[in-house]
Amino acid sequence: MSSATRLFSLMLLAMPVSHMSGVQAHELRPSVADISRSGQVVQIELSTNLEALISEMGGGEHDDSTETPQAEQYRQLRALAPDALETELRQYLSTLLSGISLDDATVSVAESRLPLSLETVSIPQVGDTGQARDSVLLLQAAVAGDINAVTWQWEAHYGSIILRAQAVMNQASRDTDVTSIGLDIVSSPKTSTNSKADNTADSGSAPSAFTQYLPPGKRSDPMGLALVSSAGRGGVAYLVIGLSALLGIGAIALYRRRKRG
Amino acid sequence: MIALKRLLNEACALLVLSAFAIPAVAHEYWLQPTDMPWLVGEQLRADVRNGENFVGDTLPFDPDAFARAGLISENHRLALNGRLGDYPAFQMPLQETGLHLLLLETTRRELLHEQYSDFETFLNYHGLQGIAERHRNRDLPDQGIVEHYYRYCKSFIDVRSPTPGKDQSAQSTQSTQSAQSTPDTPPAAALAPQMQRLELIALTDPMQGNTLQLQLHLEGAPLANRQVELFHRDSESAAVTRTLLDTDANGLASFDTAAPGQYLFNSVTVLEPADTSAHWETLWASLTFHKSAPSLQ
Repeated sequence: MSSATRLFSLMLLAMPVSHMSGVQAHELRPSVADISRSGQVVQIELSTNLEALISEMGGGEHDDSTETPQAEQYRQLRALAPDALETELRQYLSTLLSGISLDDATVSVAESRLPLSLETVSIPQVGDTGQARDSVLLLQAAVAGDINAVTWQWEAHYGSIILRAQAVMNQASRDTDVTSIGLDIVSSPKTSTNSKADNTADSGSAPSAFTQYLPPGKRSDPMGLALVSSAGRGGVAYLVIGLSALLGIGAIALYRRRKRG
Repeated sequence: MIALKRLLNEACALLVLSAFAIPAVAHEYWLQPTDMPWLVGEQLRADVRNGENFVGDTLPFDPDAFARAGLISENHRLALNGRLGDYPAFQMPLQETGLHLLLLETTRRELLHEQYSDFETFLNYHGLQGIAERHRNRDLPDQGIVEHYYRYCKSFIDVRSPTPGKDQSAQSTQSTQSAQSTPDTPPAAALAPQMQRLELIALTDPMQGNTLQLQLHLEGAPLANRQVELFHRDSESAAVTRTLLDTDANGLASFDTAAPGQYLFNSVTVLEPADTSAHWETLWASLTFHKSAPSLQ
């Protein structure tokens, strides 16, 4: 094909496709909860697709083209201004909070639940409704001084979530569980694994931050939040222990098996 | 005239295909830097996106999903650091002016096509109809088709000095080198091939000129007769167009890149996997950049 013909065909084949945008693929993105403890308060900064939470579509693995009532509600919520969406959140709040289980991991399940409250909410302007909107909810729970570990679980319809406890709070050393991905050529592509476990916290080295990916509805490993004397192991003030990649993001690959992520 | 009619028919057919048969599985995966202009001393922030027609979810930094990632400029090759859950996934310091390349490769992912029709829709969308025949010849199943796939992403940004005028000479020098890239003048580091298994290589500086010639490589060698898709989002109207070209015998394809806006090139190839746990292996290459209006350059 001559370059002129090629250019001509290029012009002919350029087609408008912008009308095909939709809400598809929003359910792929996990929420992120950054968890910290200050004295007797556990704070959870939840970065999330608030519209997906309220419409309870987060856990779906349905085909993109499937129209569901949740998808329609999502679209309506996505078009709301921040104040209006916050009003919707306030109306839905009791359902949301009852669907989140933050538990004291050291006592029996029946009496372990820690009551959560919503402190603040930050919702961006509407922007491009074809894109997900990231809102931030600040949740809080009072904890007694003797609680040394908590777990997190929320309803499956809120989708997947990444939990990130702030490492060793109030301590100078801040190992934030950073991974370096290099530029070396990958000769034999490695496979995402769901069996990798980071046991650094248990191996006697410096405790790592707690980071865990949770598929929809699954309960986290215990996140250590124990108040330990400075003379304790490694001089740790608050010890955060977890198998940071027990489920691993490879679990996302399993969860997404019918979707290309 | 006959050729023109045939071309028009093909164009109409593709228009119909695009309008009514966008498949759920045709998700592009690309790097999208934000917060331009990009200035030395500032932090580059770039999203990893997965979607269609520039509409896509952002994905977090994910050490299990990222196999190779970093930022390449004339004098630096920086590895990407992060923590699972970081948004945006790329947050890296900008240390010098000139053309930079962001690079990302993923680990192996698995996809299940429940029905053959799902797989066929994917093949048709990417001009891979020949695979359908091979699927039959290999006596593969009509249900439960397992695919392993890998992503190979690149994105160009033009980094400038925070002091206006300071980077003009460096930029023009590099641009000249890039555009000419004769055997005597090596191309800018950002334009050099990166040995991705499937790679879209820009043969000229994409920020310069009205045409961009790409070469598609598979395992380091030119890949002929493979469809390359260009998605362009217009700066002003935000309208997205999809343009298709096949690479020639040398793996080359030239695209009109005169218009300002965002550019996303995408190409997919299908291989028979060495690993028998999947029926097919697909490699996805993407390349993105943003071209400013002349008055903003």
